[in-house]
Amino acid sequence: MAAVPLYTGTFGHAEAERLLWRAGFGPRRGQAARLASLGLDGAVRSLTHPPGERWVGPRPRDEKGRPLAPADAWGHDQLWWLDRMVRTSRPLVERMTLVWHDWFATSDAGVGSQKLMLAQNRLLRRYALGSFDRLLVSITANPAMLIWLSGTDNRKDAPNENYGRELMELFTLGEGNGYTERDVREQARALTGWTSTWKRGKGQTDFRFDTKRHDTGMKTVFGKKGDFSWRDSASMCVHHPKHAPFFVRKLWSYFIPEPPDAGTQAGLEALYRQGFEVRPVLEAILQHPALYSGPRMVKPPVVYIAGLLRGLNRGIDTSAWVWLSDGAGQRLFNPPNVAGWDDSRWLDTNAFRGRWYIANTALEKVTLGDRKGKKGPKVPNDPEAIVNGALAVLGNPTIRPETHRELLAFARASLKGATGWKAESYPPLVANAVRQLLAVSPDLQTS
Amino acid sequence: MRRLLVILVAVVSCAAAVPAGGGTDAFSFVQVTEKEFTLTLSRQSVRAGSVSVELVNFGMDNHDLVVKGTRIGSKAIHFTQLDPRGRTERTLRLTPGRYALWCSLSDHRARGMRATLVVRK
Amino acid sequence: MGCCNEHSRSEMLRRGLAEAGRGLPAIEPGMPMPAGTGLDRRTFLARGAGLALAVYGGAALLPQVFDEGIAAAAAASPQQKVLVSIFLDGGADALSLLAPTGDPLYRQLRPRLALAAGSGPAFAEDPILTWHPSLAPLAQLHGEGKVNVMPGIGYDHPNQSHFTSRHFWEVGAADERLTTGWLGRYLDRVGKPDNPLQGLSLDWSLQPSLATARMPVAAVDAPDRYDFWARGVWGEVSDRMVDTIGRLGAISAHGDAALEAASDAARQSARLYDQLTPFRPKDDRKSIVSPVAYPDGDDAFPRRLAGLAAMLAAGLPLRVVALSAPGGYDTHDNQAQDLADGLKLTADSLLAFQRDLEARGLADRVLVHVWTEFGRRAKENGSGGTDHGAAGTGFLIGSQVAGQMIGEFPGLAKLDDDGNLRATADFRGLYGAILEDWLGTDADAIIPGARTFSRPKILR
Repeated sequence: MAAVPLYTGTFGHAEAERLLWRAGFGPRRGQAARLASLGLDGAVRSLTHPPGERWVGPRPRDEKGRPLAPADAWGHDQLWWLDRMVRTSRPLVERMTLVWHDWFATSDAGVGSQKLMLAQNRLLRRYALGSFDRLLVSITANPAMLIWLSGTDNRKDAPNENYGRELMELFTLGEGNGYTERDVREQARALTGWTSTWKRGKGQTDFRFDTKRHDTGMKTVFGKKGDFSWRDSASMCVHHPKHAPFFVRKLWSYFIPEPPDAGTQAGLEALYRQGFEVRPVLEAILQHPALYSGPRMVKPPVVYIAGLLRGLNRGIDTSAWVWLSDGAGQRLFNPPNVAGWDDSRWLDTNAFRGRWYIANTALEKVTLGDRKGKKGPKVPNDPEAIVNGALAVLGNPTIRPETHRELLAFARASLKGATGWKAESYPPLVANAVRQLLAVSPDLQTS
Repeated sequence: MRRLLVILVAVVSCAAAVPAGGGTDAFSFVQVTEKEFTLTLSRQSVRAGSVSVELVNFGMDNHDLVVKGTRIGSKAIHFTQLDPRGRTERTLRLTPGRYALWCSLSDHRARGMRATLVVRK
Repeated sequence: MGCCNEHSRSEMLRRGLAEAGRGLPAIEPGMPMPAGTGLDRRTFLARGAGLALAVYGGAALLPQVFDEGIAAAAAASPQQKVLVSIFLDGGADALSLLAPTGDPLYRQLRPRLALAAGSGPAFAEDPILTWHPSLAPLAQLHGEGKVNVMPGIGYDHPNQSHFTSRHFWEVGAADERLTTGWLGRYLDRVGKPDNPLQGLSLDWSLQPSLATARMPVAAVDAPDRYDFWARGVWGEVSDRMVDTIGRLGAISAHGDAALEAASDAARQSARLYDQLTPFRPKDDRKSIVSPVAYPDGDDAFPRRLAGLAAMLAAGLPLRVVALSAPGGYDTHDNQAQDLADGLKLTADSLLAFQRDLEARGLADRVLVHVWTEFGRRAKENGSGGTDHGAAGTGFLIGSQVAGQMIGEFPGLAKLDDDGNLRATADFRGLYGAILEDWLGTDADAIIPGARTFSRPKILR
């Protein structure tokens, strides 16, 4: 059996930082150093075997100081989840929840119930690191998914192929990979039986499996005959020989941008096949050399936001994040379609401007200078101190030397000849500008 | 008379639009989702006080919302008509009781776009 | 007095729309929804055009598609005729814009507000009428044959609610439920799905007459909203900051694809910021280089017109443009001063715009339509102002217009039962003429009942 390569290089501050960005939402202050001290193995284990959740930081509020009502107020569902990303002490669990949200992309635009979307979110989190088999079976019966992909419209006398198709095409095998149109039809038959009751004012409730609506006949799926039901539908996909390769490739792509080499692929498949558990595969991915010595990935918008807030030691205190993340191309609970978000489009010029304003809002509480008659802290007329101050405020991220040089050059040029009244008033302007530039630099857009 | 009612509603909505100040006021949220031809509430009851009612049109036709207490003399509160995918929000001061909610367009109410919200003490 | 609360509150409610993602707050029952409410709005930077736009509609398309669409449309129809629609908000007083100083009834109805004969230029086409002194620039253009005046334009069964009457003018029909603008329907008919500049609202949000059902249209907001500004940064530090975005983006990514993507985005954004500069006035420095002088000051109107002329000269594929004139015309009180101020800036800017187009060789392609939702009562009120009326004044301005009045002055002897001016022209007939004679499209398909309204001659 091929062994999965293990990274054996330095596991220092920069590597720990990258691990926290890929497997979480970036470091809190000092967190990268602490993680680095555990060594690679210890660090990864601390992520894949996290202790019980301990929220770190102030509870979320909207800009009027009100607590969130995630099921009842527009945008509060997104804020609620963003808050978890900011305050969690189990970042990999939360990041995998986001991965599953993209993998099983369900949009509230088609469900129409924040409450049901939140229930699905809890389901995804429950299986963040666990059994993919049980996750798939559970999501098949999940009310938001049943609405989204027409599960409750799929009846014995009028089969609806929507879920059956996506189950194979998007969730387990890949388009046309190991199944035929006949399999789609037969899967739809096997999936019949789920129903709900419409209650006025409540919407669809009481989701249940009704044997009377289920097609009990014999079906042929993947060449096998049986009186399959919905649990079989899901499990058969997991046990399909083409599933493990699909799973490995797709899971890997969330953490490492270039596809795995053949040996790695084979090794990861072997690990996965042992029980269709996510954790062992993840552990191997997170210790793979490609993660540490390979190229960068663009941070998805919500990861970028949560990371800024973690680095700045700031909690959720405004609902602006809802439209700001939308401006950068990502609204939690609202993926554009069932194929999820297209991460090749995170950084067009439109999205860049969205990120500019995310950074602007993130930094609003630490803007330097006199405000409303109150004098701010004194900013030294010193380019180096200004740049170091900006780095410190954002949690001392690792940046390229060229980036550091450009920021210094900017500070120097701006302060040059700042005499007279400018000597007092320019340093805060320059410091604010350096922080903004640092936050939107290509260095901080990627990890 | 209608003009007077319009002014009264305007005054009520003006007052209601100001969010409750001090911490003693309960503040709740409820989301009303409309499509053809249903009206769903994100919760069936709220605490009396300031209630942010958000109307979301998930349908393909235009819809609106009327909120009216079931007590005699209760005033009807009208929400703006929304295009598909439109959204609007109003903060209302609601006293305990039952409130009927419905879409006032055409025959939407008869076709099912109605619900009841209970406001508890 | 109670009414101006309605108007200013309606303005406040409309302005409240600026918050992304939210619908309008509730308006009073019985008021029609402004056309276009609820349309998706996306912001993007149009690379080729060098503009940051908010695009309404066309939600499924990628920004790149709009870039290409704009370029293709610009190449396809460089001589496209353009209509500029300018709205005097509040119901401008017809009897002050063109005062019937030669009619003895005038002084009886307007003891305080009547303008004196000779205070403004005489109106060449009707000896009874005198231009408001602030409209002298329009009188000048009229003398050159470049203005069609509509001294009494409106519709039967006039509605005196701001929201409702304005709505009728915007949707091109006396229909409260119509949700598309008349210019929007025009664009749905002839527009392209990838050219959001075909309908441009020079305003912070979409002017409802541009609201389409299918085609994308755009709004170019107040310029500083599309700036790369940062809290606590301004002046030359801010300029250098934006410049540094580009410099950071120019650092080599050494083949790292993600860094390359981030660097590209930064470089392009910085370049766009530069491209935006000609269209974006900054601080007290006018960045638009116009061949003529526009009025100075804080108001966006002259800058928007200057920017519009520059955009047209740059070959951007605009078809219809809509914006609001400066000033408040709902003059229930303080009419004399408010009108004088608003009309002066409007007329001065319109004259500059016409001269700008002439200097740039664009004048033959552009028609300007000035409209208001109603005129005001013939008899003044007790507060130095006037209340809502019926027929109002409108103008068509451009080098191609016939230079003749459309409809005669209704006269003060035969007011309607409410004491208002009767309409001598119907706005729907005017729209029909604009659509057919200027924009070259079939009016019947756009204006309900187009055939039933008499169509005036508008062009030479």
